[in-house]
Parts: sequence; C-alpha cells; structure tokens
Amino acid sequence: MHISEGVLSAPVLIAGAVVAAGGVAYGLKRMDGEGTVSAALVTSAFFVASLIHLNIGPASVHLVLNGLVGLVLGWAAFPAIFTGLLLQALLFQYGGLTTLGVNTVVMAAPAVAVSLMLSPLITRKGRMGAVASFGCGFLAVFFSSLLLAAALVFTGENFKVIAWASVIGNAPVMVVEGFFTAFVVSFLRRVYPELLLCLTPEPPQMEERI
Amino acid sequence: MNEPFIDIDSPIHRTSPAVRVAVAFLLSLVTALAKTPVVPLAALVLGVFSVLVARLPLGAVAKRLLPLCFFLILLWVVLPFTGGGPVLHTFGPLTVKADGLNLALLISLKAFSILLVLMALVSTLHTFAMGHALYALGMPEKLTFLIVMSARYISVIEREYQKLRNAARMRGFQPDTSLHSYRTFAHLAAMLLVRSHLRAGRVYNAMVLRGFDGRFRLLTDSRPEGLRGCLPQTAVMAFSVVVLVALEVAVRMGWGLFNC
Repeated sequence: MHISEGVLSAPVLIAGAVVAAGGVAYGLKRMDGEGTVSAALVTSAFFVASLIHLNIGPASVHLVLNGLVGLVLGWAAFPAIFTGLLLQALLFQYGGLTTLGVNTVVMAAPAVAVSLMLSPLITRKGRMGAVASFGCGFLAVFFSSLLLAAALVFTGENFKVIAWASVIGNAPVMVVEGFFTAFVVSFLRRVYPELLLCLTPEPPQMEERI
Repeated sequence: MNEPFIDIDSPIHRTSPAVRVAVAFLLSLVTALAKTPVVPLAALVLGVFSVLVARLPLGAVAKRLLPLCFFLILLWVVLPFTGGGPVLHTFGPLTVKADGLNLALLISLKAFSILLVLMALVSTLHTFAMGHALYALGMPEKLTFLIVMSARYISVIEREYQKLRNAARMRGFQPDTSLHSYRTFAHLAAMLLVRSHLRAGRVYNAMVLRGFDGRFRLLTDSRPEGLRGCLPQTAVMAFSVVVLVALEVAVRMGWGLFNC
C-alpha cells in the first residue's frame, strides 16, 4: 500500500519524512547487534511474503502484512518497513524516493500502534487470542488506508473521491489480512512462540526473597 | 531477484554510485515539488535521455512502468471531474474541469519522469553499491547495515519460499478463495518467518566468530572512489540538477516566458 510519486504536496512530504525519520531513529536505537541481524532477515522474509498473492474471487490481492510486522518487530517495524520500501523502489520501482517518508509512516505507524494496543491480548488462549490477532491484521490495514487517505486529502480537495475510494477499496484486503494474521499467529504460537514479541517471557526478576 | 538493469557498460554505470544516488534524489525532489508542468516536462526529457544513455533494455523498462500506468488510469478516471476552474466538457451529470485535468496531467508527467530517472540512475546499481552510496551520503551505519543485510538475504529467503511452495504443490495444493487456501499460505509465510529467524541466529554466530562487534565496516573494492574516472558524467548530472532548480525558481518568480 503506497502513494505514487508526484502526487503529494510539499508539506505532506516533509511531515511524512520528519515523522518517519523519528520513528526509524527510535526503532534503530532499540536494536542491538544480534537484534539488527535478525531484524534484517525477518525483513527479507516479510519482503518475500508480501509478494504472495491471495485470491479473492476472480481478483487477487497481495498482502500488506504490516500488522504482523508490528507484532513480530515492535518499534523495529519503522526501520524494517523503510528498508522494505526502499528496496521495492530500487528493485521494482514501486514508489520512489521522495514519497519514502510518507509511505513509511502510512505503513509503520499503524503497525506499531496495533502492536502496542493488541499484543497483550494476543497471548490469551482460545477465542480471545484469535479475535485479537484478526484485529491486528484488520486494523493495521484499516489505519494505513486512513493515513493514506489523510495524506491525499491534506494535499488537495481534488483527491477526496480517490481517498474514499482507497479506504473502501481496501476493505476486502482488511478482512483477508485479518484472517491471514490470525492463522500466522496461531501457527507461531504453537511452533515458535519466541517470534511473537509479546509472547516472550519477561526476563526473570531478581527479588530480595532468595 | 530480477535485476535486468545492472551489469551493463554505459557512461551512467561507470559513474560513482554516491553521485548517482544524490542526483537521483535531488532530481526527484525538484520534480515532485514543481508547481507547473515545465520542470516535470524537462525531467521527462532528461529521464528518457538517461534511460537511453544507460542502454537499459526497453522491454524491461516498459514492464516496470506498467503498475504506474494502472494507477494513473484510476487517477484519470476520477481527477478531471473534481476541483474548480472553467468547465471544459460535459458528460451527462459529470463535468470536466480545467483544474482537475491540469492536475492529472501534472501528476502523470511527474510520476513518469521521476520513475525514469530513478531507473536509469539508481536501479542500475548493485544493492551493495547502493548501500555504500547511502552510507557515503550520511545514512546511519545501523540502517545501512539493515538495508544491505536484508537485500542480501532476499534471494536466499525467496528460494526457501519456492521450496515450501513446491512442497505444497506436490501435495496437490491449488490456491482458491477459501479459508483453507488462506490458512495454507499463512502457514507458509509463518514458516518463512521461523526459518529466517533461525537463520539469523546462525548468521549472527558466524559473524561473531569472524569478529563482528555490532559495527558495520565497508571493506569491498566497490567502495565509491569519489569522482575519479567519472568527472564528465558528474558534471553533466550536476548541471542538469542546477538547470532544473533554476527553471523551477524562474517559474515561481513568474517569469512570463514560462507561464503557460
């Protein structure tokens, strides 16, 4: 999900770049050497996974996966998504360099928001966990489409129709993304819970009682 | 991954990576911020010229412009009917407005020219050369490391994906619109994440064994050698940036000649 080059106005581009720079810097600050290596490889895995196309009837959509990126990487979602978008711009010319900031915010801010809001609930067993992980995928794409629409509307009144069309047009993607995220989370919870940030146990706390 | 634009010999390919990335960024910026079609038009000419000079395979260029074309079609369906300005034409309840039409034209020009410049100057770089260039231009060390590292492993993990996809195909999996299909793909993606995380642990250990201490050092021969050997190209590129900036300034100052 991204905005093409040449559409947005200068204030929107600059605001996007500033927020993205802040988010990326904070995300980087929270990563150590080992964390950077695993973030890099998980980023490549997300890059490859985002090329998967799912069928919706006769059409097919490709996955955004930003909810899942948030769950797995937390604040590192900012540098990871920035990297993904930069490589996409370089490898396939999806999006360009001037929109990199806005597009990073559009995708990464919802990822972090969703992970902060819902990750405590993901740990719940049974229906609650499943609903929370569905919500993660669904809401991340929903928030992203709202941010995208906002970027367009702030650029000019002319884009109102396109902005609404993109929110409504993304509705099927939100639902598919919700199911997909729920399945991925349930798989990871059974197979490799270390990968879900929220599932990693707190480091044992030293108390006075020994 | 498919990289049809590198490994060609051309004046652009011989230019220092840092110069190319910087020029591409500046040209995109000027073009994206232009208020009138003058600068985007000049940038379009420049973009086509650079693609020709870089001797890119034109089929691949066209293929990469395709997604943009789809987006622009959507834009042209909606935008001309919005905004104010004189009414140009009426289709039943819909009226074509001058403002919307101009905007659609401006956006199309900008998008095409930026993409062509990007293709000719930046997509002709190896990912690693681009990493070095970004670092030389002031990208933080850790971010450069993240970019280069994940670019390196995309092809490896892509192979893992193909392996898993083939395994599914062997078992008769046919994608359709069903929860079963979504679940299968979800498990596939999750497995990809697990494998990439496990691989990261192994890679990290191997790196520590070779003395990795969390710092990213540039040791390759492809280190940007400054401007040596590419002065003429650098001069031409710098000149084109200056011309476009001057053109945009002239337009904004209301130089009568360009007010079209």
